[in-house]
Formats: sequence, C-alpha cells, structure tokens
Amino acid sequence: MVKNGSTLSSRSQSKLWIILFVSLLLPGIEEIHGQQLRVESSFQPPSITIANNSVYKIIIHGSQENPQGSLPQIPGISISNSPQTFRSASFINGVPSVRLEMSFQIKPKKIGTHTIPPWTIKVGSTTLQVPGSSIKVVAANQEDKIKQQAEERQKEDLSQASFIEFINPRKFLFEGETVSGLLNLFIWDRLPVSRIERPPQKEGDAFSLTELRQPQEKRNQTKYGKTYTVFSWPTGLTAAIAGQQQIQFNTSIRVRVKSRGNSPFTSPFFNDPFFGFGREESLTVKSDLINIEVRELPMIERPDSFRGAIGKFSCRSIPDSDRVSLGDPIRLVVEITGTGNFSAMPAPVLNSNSNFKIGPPAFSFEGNEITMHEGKQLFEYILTPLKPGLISIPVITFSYFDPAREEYFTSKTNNHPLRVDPGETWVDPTPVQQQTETSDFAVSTTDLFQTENEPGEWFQNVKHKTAINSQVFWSLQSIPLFCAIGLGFYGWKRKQSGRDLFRQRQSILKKQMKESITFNDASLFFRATRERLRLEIGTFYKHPNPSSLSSNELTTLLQSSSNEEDTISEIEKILEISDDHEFAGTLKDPQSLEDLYKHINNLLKKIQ
Amino acid sequence: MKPRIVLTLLAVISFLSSLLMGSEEDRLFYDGVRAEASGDLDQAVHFYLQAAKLSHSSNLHGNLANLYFKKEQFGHAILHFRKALLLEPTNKELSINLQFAYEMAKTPPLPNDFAHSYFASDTFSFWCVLCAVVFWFGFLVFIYLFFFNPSRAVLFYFTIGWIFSGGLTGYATHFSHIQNSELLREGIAILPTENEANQTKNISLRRFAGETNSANTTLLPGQSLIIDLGKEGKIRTHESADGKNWFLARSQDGKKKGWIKEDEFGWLIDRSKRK
Repeated sequence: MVKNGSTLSSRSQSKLWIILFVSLLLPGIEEIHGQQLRVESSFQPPSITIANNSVYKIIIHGSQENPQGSLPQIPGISISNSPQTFRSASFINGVPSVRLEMSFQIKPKKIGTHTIPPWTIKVGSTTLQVPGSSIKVVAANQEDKIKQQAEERQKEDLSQASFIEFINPRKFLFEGETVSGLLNLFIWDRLPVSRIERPPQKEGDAFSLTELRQPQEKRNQTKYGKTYTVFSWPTGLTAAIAGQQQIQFNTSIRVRVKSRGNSPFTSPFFNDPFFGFGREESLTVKSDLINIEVRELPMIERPDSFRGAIGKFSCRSIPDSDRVSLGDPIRLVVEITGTGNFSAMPAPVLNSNSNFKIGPPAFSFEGNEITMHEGKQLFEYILTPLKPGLISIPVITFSYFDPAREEYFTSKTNNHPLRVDPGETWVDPTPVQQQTETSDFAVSTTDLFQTENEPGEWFQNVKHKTAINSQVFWSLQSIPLFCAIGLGFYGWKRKQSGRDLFRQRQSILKKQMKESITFNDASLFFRATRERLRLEIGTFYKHPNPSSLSSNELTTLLQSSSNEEDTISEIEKILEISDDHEFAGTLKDPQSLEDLYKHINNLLKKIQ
Repeated sequence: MKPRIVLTLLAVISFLSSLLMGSEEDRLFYDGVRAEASGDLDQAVHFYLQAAKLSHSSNLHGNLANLYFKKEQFGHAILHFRKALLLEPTNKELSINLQFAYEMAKTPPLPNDFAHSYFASDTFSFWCVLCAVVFWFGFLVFIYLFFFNPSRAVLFYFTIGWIFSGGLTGYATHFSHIQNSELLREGIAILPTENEANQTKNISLRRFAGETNSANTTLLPGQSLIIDLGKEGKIRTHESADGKNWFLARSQDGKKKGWIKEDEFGWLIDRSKRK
C-alpha cells in the first residue's frame, strides 16, 4: 500500500510538472524568446504546367503573430489575396519552437520562369526579409489538354441541354416593319424538366414583340446529335429603332437536380432526380445574341398618303348600298389585305366634305391574331350624305412601303356612285303640350354655360397650398411637442420623487380591502387596514419609514398635530381592533366590514 | 433720415405696383366679358388667356371653358372646367357643366369610386391634419397613462387603439398624397388649334417621341392623362430635333401609354407657377 502510494504520488508529481510547464509556455506561445526569427519562402511544387496551379508558401519561424507587408505582384502569375494560415508549436530536441505558415494560391498566366524577388515583412517590431523564390511554368501536357477538352465538352453539353432559337425570315428589317418569326425552345430529353416557368421574353428595346400564347410541342427533334423536345411560339417582331440592333430572348425552366449532401437518405436512389427525388431549381435559358440591321425608311418618293404601313397590301372599298335617302347613313368598309405591320397600321384618311359627313372608323382584324402579320384589316366608316342627287363616295388612297422591293406603292379604291333621294321633310312628332310639361324637369341649357361678369377671387396658383407646404401647420406641431415634453418631464420627476410609489401602494391596499369584503376575509381586511393607516398617516407626517410604525407611534403622530380627539380615538380603536384580530381572530360580517371601510376612508380624509 | 425715406418710397412703389398688377388681370377679364357680349368669341378667349397668364380665378376659367364649349373645342373646355373646379371644388354649376362637356366630347368622365372620392387630392390636407391630431393626441394620452396611471392594461389597450387609428390615418394620408402628386402631373388631351377642324379628332400617343412615328394608341379630347416619371423622379420628357417637347404619358386608367407633344395636352396645374 505504501509502495503504491509512493508511485501515485510520483505520477501526480510528474503531471503537476507538465501542467506547470505548459502553463508557463502558453502565455509566450505567440513568440518564444530565445528562438531566432527567420523566414522561408518556396513554391510547392516549384515546376508546373500552364494549366495547373501552385502554392507560394511563407514560413515564419519563432513567431505566430500575423505579419504585415505587401506581397510583390509578378506579371506572369496571379497571386490570390486570401492566404491560408497555419500555426504550429513543437519541441525540437526539447526546445520549444513555434511557426506560422501562409499559403497563397498561384495561377500561371505565361510560360517561363517567374521569380518573386526578396521582399520585407514586419513581425511585431522586427522587420524580416523574405528570400526570393522562383517557379517554372512549362507548356500544357497531354493530360492537361484532355482535361481542358473534357471541361469544354461539359460546357458545350450544358449549353446544348436547353436553348432558345429565333428563326427570323429576313436578314434586315425596315423601321416599323413587322415580320413573322418563330421562337423555339429546345429541351434535351435527358434534362429532367418539370415545367416551363414563363414564355420567352425579349431583352432590348429596339423591337416590339406580339403576345406569346400557348406553344406548339414537337417531340423527338434531333440536333447536335441529341434528341430534344421543341416548344414553338409563332410571333410578330416589329423593328422600332433604326441602326445595328441586337436582340436576345430568355426564359426560365424548372429542373429537378440532385439533393444536397445533407439529405437524410444517403442512397443515390433517393437523390436521383429521374426517380422523382432530389430538389427543383430554376434554370435560365437564353438565346444567342442576334444582330439585326434595322434600316430607316427612304425619304425619297415617299407619298403624302403614306402613314406607316409596311408590307405588301391590296386595298378596296365596299359600300353597303348604292341608293339611300337624304340623312340615312351608309356603311363603307375599307378592306386592306396582305402581309405586313397590321398592328401599327392607322386608318386611311377620309375627310368630311360638302357631300358627306364622315365619322371616325371602327377597326377589326381577320387573320392570324397572334402575329398580326398576315390577314385582312377592315375599317368601317359611317357616311351621311348631306345633299340629294347622284354623288360619288370618296376614293381612298392607301400608300405602303414594300420591304422586299424597297419601294413605296399607292393603291386607290374604286369610285362608287351613290344615289341620294331627297326623302320626306322631317316633322317633330312630339306634341307641343308635352314639351312644355317635360321642360320643367330637363336641365335648362340657359343655366349652363352662363358667363360670369365678375372675376371673383384671384389666386396665384390653380391649386391651393397643401397642409404640409404650410408653415402654420408645422409651427402648430410645436405646441403638442412642448406639451408632450413637459408632461413627460413632469411624470418622470414625479416618478423619481416616489409619490407614484405611494399611490401605487395605496391603490393596492384599497384593492385588498375591497377584495376581503367581497370574500368576507376579515383577517386580510384588518391587515390591509393597518398597513394602509401606517402608510397614509406616516406619509402624511413625512415619516422616513411608515411601514415600521407601531400603533402607539401612529397615535403619537396624530396627537402631535391639531387633529380632533374623536378622530384620533376612532383611529386608535380601529388599530386596536386590527391588532386584536391579528391575535384573537374575531369574525366580522361583510356588511360591517364595508361600513368600516367607508368609515376609515372618512377618517383618513380628516387627518390634518 | 435718408434711408428711411428711400425705404418708405420703395414700400409705396411696391404697394402701388401690386395694385396695378391686380387691376391688370381685372381689366383683361372685363375686356373678355365685353368681347363675349359683342359676339367676338375668339377675342374673348384671347383676353381671358392673357388674364390667366397673370392670375387665376374660378370665374375666369369657367368663362373660358364656356367659350371653348361654344366653339366645340371640348378638350379645352374640359381642361378649364377642371381648373375652375380646383379653385372652387364646391361649385355645383361647374360640376354639371363639366359632366355635360364630357358627354358632348364622348369622353369617359373621371372615376368617382371610393379611392377617388375619399382620398382625392383635395382631401390631402384634411388627412394630414387628422393624422397629426391622432398622433399628438395619442402621444399625450400615452405619456399620461404611462406616468400617471398605474394600470398597465389600460395603457396596453390604448396603445393598440392608437397604433391602429394612427395606421389608418397614415394610410389615408399616403393614399391622398399619391393622388395629390398625380394631380401635379395630370394633363388633359386637347387638339392643337390647327387640327381642330380635322377629321380624326383623336390625339395620338406615339410609340416614340417623333412626328413620323406611328400611333401606339389614341386619346379623345378631354381625356385625362398622367405624365410618367423617370428614374430620378423627374417628368419623362424629350426634345425632338425640331425643338418640340414630348412627354411620356399614360391614360388615367393606365391602359394607354405613349409619347405626346406638348401642344396636344394642357397641364391642369401650370408647370411654370408650381412651388
């Protein structure tokens, strides 16, 4: 037992030495005195191919303090700004040694030998020189080329997984011209797409696009050696600004991808998107940037009747009748058929003249309403003949620009003769009597639009000043502001003085008394009564600690002032009952407790 | 003594000049009334417009609107009825005349729904004052309850009520402020004078700010339009090569949008006189 005890004590002694040594070592771990400060630098590996990276490592022996200094920049290599730092402490031949390693990522830019010259760093108050070191960058080898090719193939595969293609039938457009194009969204069959989030949208303001509706779907389309499902949207593209313009389309699709590593299911089956597992992500799909030249419309030989129609059209007019009575309207339909910018086509000009009063036309379109590029545009005019006889419906001149032939063309409608019969004279069928009766209820037009002979009050502005622009409004805000500050300050002072505490305690004691009356708890009632008498009488006579006052002391305080004898004796009596009740437990009925409560309130009011 | 005399003289001169300025717009107004009475409507319009350059009154704009109505220039008539109503919102005669002008111009009248009546631009001051009253009254009561009333339950329920009513009035103020700021950018589509007799009777909202551009859509004379704001909160305007100013406008319901020339609409509130 003794031997064992001595063994234990020697073990515990050695542990104690280790703890003592470590505790001495720890405060000086930043820098060990005696160990010389020195710096080493090297590239690891010192020779790389152009496609690989290296590490520039600086080792500071004798300190773990972060050094200060700026790393020189070398033209042929790029050095990362965020080094990895590693601190270590060790014993070498029983001597403690610390060091700090800093590793900078190096990416070569040029082939050749690149040298970082010696440079200085500051460790604490000591300035040290980092020795120079060189790295040799050689040309890419076969393995690098294979890796690069694989990466490029991967990028190409990704860009070919889904893409947008715009089929534009023309190499250049004229400003205002509409062409019918096709937007194709290619989705590789092996891409697990759950849905297309939105139809493609254009980027760039130089063109306007008609609304895209439901796409047409075509399966098993082969391109780039892959099988795709193609969604096609027919659309009308209108050039708006002249010049060399660019347009691009984008959309987003929802794809299923593998779950992240923290999935509770480690099996690849549970992470495979093809089995319906994994998570959904939004993928943006873009088309290539499409360059389209938009030319200005020629000014030479532009007809006066040209109003912006571009395409190839034919024009005719159809009246609904060739004989009418004077005053009866006829309908004239102007029909423009062909291909072109129907969406931007204004109505041909048809002015009123001495023969006809002509109203504004109604528009309607028959044809491909998605692209508005091919079809028939109808303008319906209402013509009211103004004089009888054989008159002609006005000829309509319609000019357009043909982008294929790059020329203006003008077409005219036929001349339609119209016989207008004089008709019968119109007689007002309304009896005179009825007119006078109803005139009382109608709004009198003489009351409307009556000229004022006096100008009235003049104002500098049509709109009156609003409240927030008025200085009075903002000045008035100061009144409640000062009131709030004053009230707040007064309340704060009051809280500081303790009056609030007195009221709170008084309120609690009153509440206790009322509750004890309700529950017929005489014990609580008298306890609260005695506390209340102490509090109110003590506070009234400014006693520093009212709760410490005894019944006799309270009576003495009351007698010291000019209180009535009756009041003093009544209070004395109540205090006595309270003391008795505390020890004897005399029972009181609730009615008498309530009377007593009122009596106490009256008595406390009489204290002077 | 000398500076005093100079100051007194300056004060007298400024007072007299203000009197003279005041009488100038009166004189032009009465000239307009006389010209109208003699049947020279164009001359009357000229006098009233001259007076409107100096100052505004509801009777002046009312008379001007009546004259335009008689000349069947309904866009101008609606513009000046609206101006007159801004100066005298309670004038029923002007309101009836405006409705009649809308009917004649076949233009949809202004919306009179909940948002445009209770939170209209002229209610902005009312909501501002009510918001301030609710805030300050609530704040004072809150301080009183916090410092002087021991019951925390009362303070809690009051605070809830205060925040709720403050939120309501704040929302109303914000909404009416939007209407008010839109009023500053509101214009009325009018046909330029040379086109009054034209057949189309429509005002084009063009795709781009240029005379040769095709119309994106059209507005009827008298229809309200709001000028768009740019990124910096300034009105979106463009000066074309021929020196004309163009504004990007949208109809009151927001469905129609396009560029409009400065002479194709009239500002409800003159831009030069804004403060």
